[in-house]
Amino acid sequence: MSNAEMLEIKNLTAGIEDNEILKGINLSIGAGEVHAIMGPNGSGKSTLASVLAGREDFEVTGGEVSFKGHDLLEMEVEERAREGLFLAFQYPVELPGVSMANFLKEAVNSVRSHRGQDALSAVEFIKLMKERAALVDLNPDLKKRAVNEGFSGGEKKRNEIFQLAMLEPSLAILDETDSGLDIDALRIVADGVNRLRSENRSFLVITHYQRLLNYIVPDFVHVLLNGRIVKSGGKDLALKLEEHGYDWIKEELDIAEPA
Amino acid sequence: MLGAALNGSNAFLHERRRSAVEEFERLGFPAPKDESYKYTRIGRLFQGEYAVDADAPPISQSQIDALEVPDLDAHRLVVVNGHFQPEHSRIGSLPPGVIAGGLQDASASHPDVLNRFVSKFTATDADPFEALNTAFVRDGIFIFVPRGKTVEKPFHILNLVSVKSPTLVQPRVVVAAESGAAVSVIESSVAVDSVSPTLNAVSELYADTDAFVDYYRLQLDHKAGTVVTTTNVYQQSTSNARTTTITLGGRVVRNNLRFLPDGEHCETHLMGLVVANGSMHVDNHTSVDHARPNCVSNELYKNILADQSTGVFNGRVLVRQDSQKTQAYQSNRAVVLSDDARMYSKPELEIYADDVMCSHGAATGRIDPESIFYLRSRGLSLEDARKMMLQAFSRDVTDSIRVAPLREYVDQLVRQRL
Ligand SMILES: Nc1ncnc2c1ncn2[C@@H]1O[C@H](COP(=O)(O)OP(=O)(O)O)[C@@H](O)[C@H]1O
Ligand SMILES: [Mg+2]
Repeated sequence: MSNAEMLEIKNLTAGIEDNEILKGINLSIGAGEVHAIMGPNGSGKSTLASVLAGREDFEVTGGEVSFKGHDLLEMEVEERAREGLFLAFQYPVELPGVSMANFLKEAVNSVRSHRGQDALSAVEFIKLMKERAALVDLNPDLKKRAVNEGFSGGEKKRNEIFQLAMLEPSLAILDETDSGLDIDALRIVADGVNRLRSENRSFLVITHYQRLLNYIVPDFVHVLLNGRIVKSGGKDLALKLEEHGYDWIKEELDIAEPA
Repeated sequence: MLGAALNGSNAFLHERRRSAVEEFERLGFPAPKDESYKYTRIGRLFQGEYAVDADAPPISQSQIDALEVPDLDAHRLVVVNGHFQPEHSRIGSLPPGVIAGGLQDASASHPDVLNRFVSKFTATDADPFEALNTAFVRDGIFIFVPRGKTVEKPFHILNLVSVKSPTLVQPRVVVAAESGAAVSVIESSVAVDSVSPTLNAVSELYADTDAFVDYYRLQLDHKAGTVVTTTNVYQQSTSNARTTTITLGGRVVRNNLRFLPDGEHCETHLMGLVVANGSMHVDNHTSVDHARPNCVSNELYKNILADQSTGVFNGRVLVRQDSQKTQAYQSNRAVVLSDDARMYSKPELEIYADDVMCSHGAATGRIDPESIFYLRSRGLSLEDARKMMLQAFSRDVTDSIRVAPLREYVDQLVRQRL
């Protein structure tokens, strides 16, 4: 693993009320790396993404997370975003009355201001929007609408990647960005992501299906089962999961630590 | 009481005032049990000692200019303590036949025209505040647009109030658009001194056949005390009347709006936005009497309530038995920002016709935390995220403001207030 640590999660436990969902997560992501997390429904993938982004519904009960050397768990939601953490939501919310342009302008400028950059002029902003929307083939009309309002499922997912492209994060977490996409949309989203890959930008791609990983080829694959990362490997691990499901891992685990 | 008559020679107004005095004596201020003032016990606010009229003290031009809506190019009419001030007004050029100026002047120069409109609205339920205003009316504003004429720029009526001791100030506005005429009117009230007066304003709007009347009541003055307003809207067939009430200030505000679309194919729009904080209490009491078939009314009120403020909305819609094909839509929504803020919402639909389309919805809630999380996860501060959501919430009202500089001004004030 690379020396330049982007994200370092140590023994992270979190839950909601008395229900412990993450039961000791360990994960290191180096700069420029793409990690995939796979796991069956309910294993805690979205919870991990939410905790990293700072959703307050979940209580962190133990462990540490450092993001580019900062104590992530100490940071407010917006500080994390400004510092370069981006979450592409599994279920993006609709914001009636909030125009895409207004929303993105405030978002981009708050991130820029944190980085010590000047706010973009109207002309520069429009140019940037146009260029980045093209990256995910986002229908230009959508930029004139309210955020996600009346967008199709696929449009919402593309809009998440469009925002990713606008905000230029250091670490992007994609929570099931592939689910519900037809094959063309999947290819467009994956192409967009691939073009955004760089040696300074890391990705944590959460998915349920191996097919996305044919397009976004990960450096590492981790299996999340019942709140723990139980297996890690290269991209071949995803293929094995696709072929054999998760049962063989569960069996391995049962042998390793009998119930 | 009737000594200082509006104009001795105008027998009609004289008569109106006399009957208003009788009506007010019969009704009195709303009693504590009065159902239509259930959430706004306003009667007690009128118990103390106060004068019922005040002369207009000198007001400087700079005081007036400070109250302008930025970039608004309008025919400006200035009123101080209910009295029209020609020297401060800037009416500009108007199409031939248009009358715009003081009510008292109009009663001398155009008594016949004026008499066709003043107090012609016969409301189904008499209200004491309207009677009180009529009983004491001495001056005000009269705007008349004759048949087929369009006044392109809006009128802006600036009601200034300047009193040194408790005073009841009762501005009166009459706007009449003859058939096919079009007019927009903005009315704002501002207290220029520290003594907050009690205001009882009445505006009467008449839209004759095919006429268009677009009216804005701006209650932006955070120093305002007790404010009662009445807006009566009378419509003839195929007319379009719109009222927009923006309330950002006033300790206790009660707005009575009564619409009578009295011809077929009328279009009626009632918009309202309340942004209240502290212990403000804002009560919008609306009534649309669908007396004729084939009319559409569309009502949208939004409330943003912080601190210990209270919002009240009452939306009466009466669809009479023969008013088939009526479409009446009503929506009242509120966001409460604290545990102590309250919203009381009461739709009152009385529908006696069977072939109608009516809907109403009332909802009170908090700002959606998921939306806030989404915005913050994109780098917006909690404060900016909340503002953005609240501005979005009020947007369908602010967007419906047709006068662009006013729309921007209100939007900006709302943002500052949040
Ligand atoms: N807001 C919540 N309240 C209660 N339980 C939750 C909540 N969110 C997630 N969970 C529970 O946590 C577990 C993991 O959920 P989640 O992280 O969404 O899984 P995944 O994304 O892997 O499908 C599930 O059992 C789910 O029921
Ligand atoms: Mg999930």
